[in-house]
Amino acid sequence: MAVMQDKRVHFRNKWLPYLFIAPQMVVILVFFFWPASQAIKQSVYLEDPFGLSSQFVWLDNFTALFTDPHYLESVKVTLVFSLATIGLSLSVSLLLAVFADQVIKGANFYKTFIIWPYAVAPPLAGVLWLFLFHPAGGVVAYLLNHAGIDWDYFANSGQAMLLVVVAAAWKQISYNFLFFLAGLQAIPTSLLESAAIDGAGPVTRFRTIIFPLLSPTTFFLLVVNVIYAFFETFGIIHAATQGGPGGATNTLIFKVFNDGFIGLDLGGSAAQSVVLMIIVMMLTILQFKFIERRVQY
Amino acid sequence: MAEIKLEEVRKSYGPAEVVHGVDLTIPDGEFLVLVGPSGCGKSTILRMIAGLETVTSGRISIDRRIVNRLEPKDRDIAMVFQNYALYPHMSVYQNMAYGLKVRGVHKADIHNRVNEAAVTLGLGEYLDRKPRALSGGQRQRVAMGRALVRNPKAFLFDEPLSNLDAKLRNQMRVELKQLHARLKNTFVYVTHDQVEAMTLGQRIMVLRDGNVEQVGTPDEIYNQPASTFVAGFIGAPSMNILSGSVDGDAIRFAGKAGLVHAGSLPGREVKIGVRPEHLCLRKEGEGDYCQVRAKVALIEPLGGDTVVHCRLNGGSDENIIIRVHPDEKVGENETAILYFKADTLHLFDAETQRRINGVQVCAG
Repeated sequence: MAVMQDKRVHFRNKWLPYLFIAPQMVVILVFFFWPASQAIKQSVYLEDPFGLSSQFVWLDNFTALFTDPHYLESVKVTLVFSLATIGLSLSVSLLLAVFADQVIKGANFYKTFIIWPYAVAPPLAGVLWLFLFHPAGGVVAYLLNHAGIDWDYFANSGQAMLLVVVAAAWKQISYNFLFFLAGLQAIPTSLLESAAIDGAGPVTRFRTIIFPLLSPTTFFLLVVNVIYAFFETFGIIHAATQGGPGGATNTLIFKVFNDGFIGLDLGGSAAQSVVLMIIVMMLTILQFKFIERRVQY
Repeated sequence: MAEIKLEEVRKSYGPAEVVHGVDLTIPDGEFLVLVGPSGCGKSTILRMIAGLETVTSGRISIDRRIVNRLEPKDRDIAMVFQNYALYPHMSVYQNMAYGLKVRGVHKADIHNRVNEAAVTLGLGEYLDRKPRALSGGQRQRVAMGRALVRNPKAFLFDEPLSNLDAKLRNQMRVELKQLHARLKNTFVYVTHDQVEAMTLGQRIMVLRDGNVEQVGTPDEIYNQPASTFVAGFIGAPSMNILSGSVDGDAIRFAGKAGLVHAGSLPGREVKIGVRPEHLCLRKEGEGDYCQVRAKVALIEPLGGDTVVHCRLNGGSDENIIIRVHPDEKVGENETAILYFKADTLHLFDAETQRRINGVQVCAG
């Protein structure tokens, strides 16, 4: 870290550095702190659907939440959905990155193709998957039905979960892929050559050298993917399943929207988003506290 | 312990051939040094022996077994890389134990061999450290320890001392030589440093642009360089190479100076090589001395001796470097007479740049 200190810039005008970070601070204030504080404020009020009157109710919204079986069900759904999405997207993108790292001819072509899905907006991705898998008109659904699989994710909760997990994971693979590929390319070739001479085959090399050396990347992606699965998958679920059937894909983030803007329970919805915020904050702190120190070398 | 044999070994990358047919037999227990400027193919040859590069054509055998198609791990060799290639996430102990562990050696056996190597290399107290907590020299030792514990048939070194500072490099060079003397194993060592080549190698292979220029003992390489390239590459300061023209049985060079030769010369032009230490400012005792006149251009005192850069008189405009005792009184811009014995010079064919053997010369 000594190098970092040498690179420190000294400003003659002491206000100039603050000016440089001001745009970022304004964005965070307007789009994070302000809505977050609104959510915290709303979570302790009971408001009528039209927003004409509100009443301070202490923590009644939270008590109602934790005694609501639908909410607890949604927590379970979110856990299943997040674990499956993160596991699928991390493992597939690692696999693709390992393959792409070994490609010599046409490497850029493959990389561009794999990165493409990242440019697709989440709701569009949801609609895309909807068109492919819609039981009545989807192309893949048609083929599945032909193959003898009774495909109807509007009725089958397992299929609905599978669809949103695959769609959400697909969306995140590009991002993970990029980081894994960069991580792989940062591993000096001589390390792998040395391991090869030492007697390690390709699988042993991956297990004992590549994977441990990738762990800082994997950890970073884990944090990012947890946040992605919890928050940014709303668009996909909204477009593909609307939380159905029977709440089978009703994740916490979708429920916040559904209860607030469809059910018009603004206080309850705000309480949910506060809880969600706390959960993700705690997860991130836990990850940094317990995992990060193991991945440094 | 093994003999390594290369037969007509070639390497191409696409249409570009970078190694043009190398034949070499490294007997069991020899310390062979591959030396040459960057891009001469020395590392490529080493990597082909290791199995890290495929062989385009020709055969490589280790211990009488052809290894062209064998994986690196099945060749039973160990390699030390220039950047050490230590596994950063493993301790010194784990680094050294890795090769044994993946080969399924018994744990107690690993323990003994690693500890033994650690004692040999003076790494005993660092076994629990990670590579990042070690100095350059210590990392280099760990890399050697990792090779040592495997007890392979041969050791390959790819410029292992290049990343060390000058003092440490000299120290490690001595240690390497002692290590070889103790292990009596086959060592193949790649370097671009002629001092390393001369001091370490029992034999040296000098390479240039993928061609073998000469293979021989350090003494042969130094005293009978096979080409002007070898003559100029080995030795510091480099051998002086002067142009000479053949006129009957005389060779004219440096303006008026001349030599008389007995024997047949291939062409009208020759190159005359003479090492800086064979030139002196006065005759010492009797001998068959040649002399040239030169103007002193620059003096470099090195302490132990002094290097004098001169410009030859007589319109040939050639530079000549001499190495003299520091007590010699010589000033810049003075004109000096340089003497050298006729039997210390080397003759090369001006066209092929190869050494001319069997021609007697004397001062004329």
